[in-house]
Amino acid sequence: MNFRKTLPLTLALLGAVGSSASIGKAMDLKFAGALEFSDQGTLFVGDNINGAIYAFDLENKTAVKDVHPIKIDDIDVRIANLLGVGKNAIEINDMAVHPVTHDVYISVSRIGNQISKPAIIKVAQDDSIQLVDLNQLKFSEQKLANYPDQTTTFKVRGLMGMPPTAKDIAKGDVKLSSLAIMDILYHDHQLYVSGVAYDNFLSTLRKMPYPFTGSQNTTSVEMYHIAHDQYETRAPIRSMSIQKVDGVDQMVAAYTCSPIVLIPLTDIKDGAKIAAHTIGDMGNGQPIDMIPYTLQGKKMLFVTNNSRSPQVIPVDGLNNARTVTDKDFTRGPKLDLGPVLPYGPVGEMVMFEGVSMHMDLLSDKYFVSITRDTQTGGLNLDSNLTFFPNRVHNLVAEYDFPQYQQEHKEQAK
Amino acid sequence: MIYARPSSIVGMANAMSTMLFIVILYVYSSFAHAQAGTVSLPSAEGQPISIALNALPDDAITGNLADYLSVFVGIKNQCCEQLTPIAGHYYHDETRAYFKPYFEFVKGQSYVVKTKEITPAQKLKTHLNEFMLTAATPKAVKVMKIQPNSALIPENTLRFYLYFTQPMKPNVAFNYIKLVNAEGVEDNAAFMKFKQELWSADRKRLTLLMDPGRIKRGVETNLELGPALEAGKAYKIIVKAGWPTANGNQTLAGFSHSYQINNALRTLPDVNKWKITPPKIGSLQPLRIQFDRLFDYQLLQSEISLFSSDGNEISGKISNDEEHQIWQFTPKKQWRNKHIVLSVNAKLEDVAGNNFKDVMDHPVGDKMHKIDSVERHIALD
Repeated sequence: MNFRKTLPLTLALLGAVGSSASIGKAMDLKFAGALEFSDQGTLFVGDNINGAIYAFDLENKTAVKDVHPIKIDDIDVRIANLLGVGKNAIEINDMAVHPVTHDVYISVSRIGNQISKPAIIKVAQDDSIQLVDLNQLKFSEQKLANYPDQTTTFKVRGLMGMPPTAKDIAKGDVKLSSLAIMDILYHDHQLYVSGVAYDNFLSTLRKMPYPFTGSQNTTSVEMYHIAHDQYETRAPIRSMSIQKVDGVDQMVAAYTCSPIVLIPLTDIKDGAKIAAHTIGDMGNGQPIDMIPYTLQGKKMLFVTNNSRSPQVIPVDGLNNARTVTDKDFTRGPKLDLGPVLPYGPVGEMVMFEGVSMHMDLLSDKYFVSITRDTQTGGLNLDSNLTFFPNRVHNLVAEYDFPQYQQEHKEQAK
Repeated sequence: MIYARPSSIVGMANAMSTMLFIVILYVYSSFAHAQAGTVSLPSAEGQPISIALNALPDDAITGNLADYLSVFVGIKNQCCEQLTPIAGHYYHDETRAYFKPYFEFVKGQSYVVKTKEITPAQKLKTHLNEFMLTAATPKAVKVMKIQPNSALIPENTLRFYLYFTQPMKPNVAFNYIKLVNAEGVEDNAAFMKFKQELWSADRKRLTLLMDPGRIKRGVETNLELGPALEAGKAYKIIVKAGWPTANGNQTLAGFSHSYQINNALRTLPDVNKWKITPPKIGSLQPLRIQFDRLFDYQLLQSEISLFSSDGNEISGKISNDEEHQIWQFTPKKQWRNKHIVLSVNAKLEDVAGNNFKDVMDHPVGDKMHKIDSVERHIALD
């Protein structure tokens, strides 16, 4: 299909008319992906099928005094049953915490009768699980310009020249547009959206005001990838956070395998092709969430990864970081087993028992996480203290023995 | 419906049969009660579940209906402690309370409806009713047609097409498809057996190619085995029952088609041998061609076009009566031009694979006709 030739025309039209407020229009969300809240409690939902950001009014001024650390085992089963299906018929796409009520919102795809439908689930502070009736909410919508087509899929590859496995081949059915909205960030009445756009230069950072006005900036982002030893323009930013680095507001962004880059916000201009500043690499793997939080008075980023333990990056450490290029390393890919990775001011990897599939800050004391438990294999929603270590229930150490505790008690006397 | 039955008992004279009927009625109604009772279960995805208001306490509709009617994913004997009920809407009319799930029920998924109903002693009793929606009865799987479908085909027929009502499982075709002679003896070397079978994209049409080695004279397999079809004899193409569909859920019903074999076709087709019946100008009458031979059914759908004298292609609908070797073209708009041109792609083949460029079984050294298409001018009535 010759979409590259025909699409820009269509998109120019979209840019002109496909603007903002959709109140009164039927809500037609087709996919509930990336989630983000505004400071007041507007929920932004990335729809990778319609190619739009939906903003739902969930503003609530009733602040919670003592945030309850929510814990619900087998959250996947609970959500699936709420939606009338078995647990294999749902996919959990993202999670975000309401900044005022501290309720947890989860975006889900529900597959039934061979159709996938979006759902937003609310796990309230009282541990109740509810389906959010999106049709009852005020909403507005912003279509994304330069949205990729819905047909191009990934190219199948095997591992290092080996024939592709069945699961590698299945990747060949995944559409590029499923990466169109990877992460959404609300900052100072602006929405930043990372993902892929339609043209050859796929990796894109979009910026648009909220409330939506119809205007948006689309910036193509190039970066030097330390682990892959190449300049990359296609793979999108996986997760990001805006922090003051070197005295200015900068986007701190993580890519797959897993470099950290800085992008000054002033660089994000419509139609610009920019080079992000690569300052480090956490090591091989794919980042999931980047959560800013405060630890002992210091600003930190907690970066989860589908292949590694979380990385804790002190924001202070990003100041005066040196931007690296291919000239700074001997050529060739860098693997975890080599001497280069991790590289740069990327902080430390910390213990986190289990695998967090989605994480957000529940309060200043707790992270809330959808975690695959290493003991049971179950998928649990759990709250974990923000200091380290924060999960020990599946570990048995010296401290767990009664003799140790007895001895300790006696010494204390 | 259940309550309609007792009145029919009254008319029964025979006490025995009345007793028997009561027993049947008892069994039937207890079965029906286990199914539903005062609860009405859905029979399609979008239907709500309802319960008679007189089965609920008076304050049920003013309170939380979910306390009296809730629906769970799962089966009855694992319900409903610790389970999350399905999200949905509650409402009521004068006689019943309803639950409509937010997302439609899923076919093949078990659900349990839990109700708390009031007993004659004004106590609440919990009832569990299980249900599952099943997929609609699937279409029968059969061979819709075979092409050529005429009773008489030439000895050197090259291609057959089998059309199925549903997508079929690939790579097992020749476990089911047989060519047999009048005595029922199978010729298992008749068809070309490719590694990759010749399916249409929707896997509902299979192309069967006769082994050209059996057709082409002087080729080794022709010399060894002779032609698969011999003029003057009768054969059958049989598709045995049991061939699974692509989704593996159903199997094919058996099929067979008989052919009488005519002499081989070893001449180039010639449009001047076609009998063309021109339509009337200003009408929507079809233009009709009577062929002198059987052409490939699939190619006939696309390889013949009609042009007006100004060079524009005329749009319309093609229909084929293969048995009578008739091709018809019905225009979308009335015929306007007196003179039209029939253009035939030189690649159009007859059933024996002969096209306008060369015959399938030509002597070595014969030159191909270097043509792309063949035209014939037609004057309308």
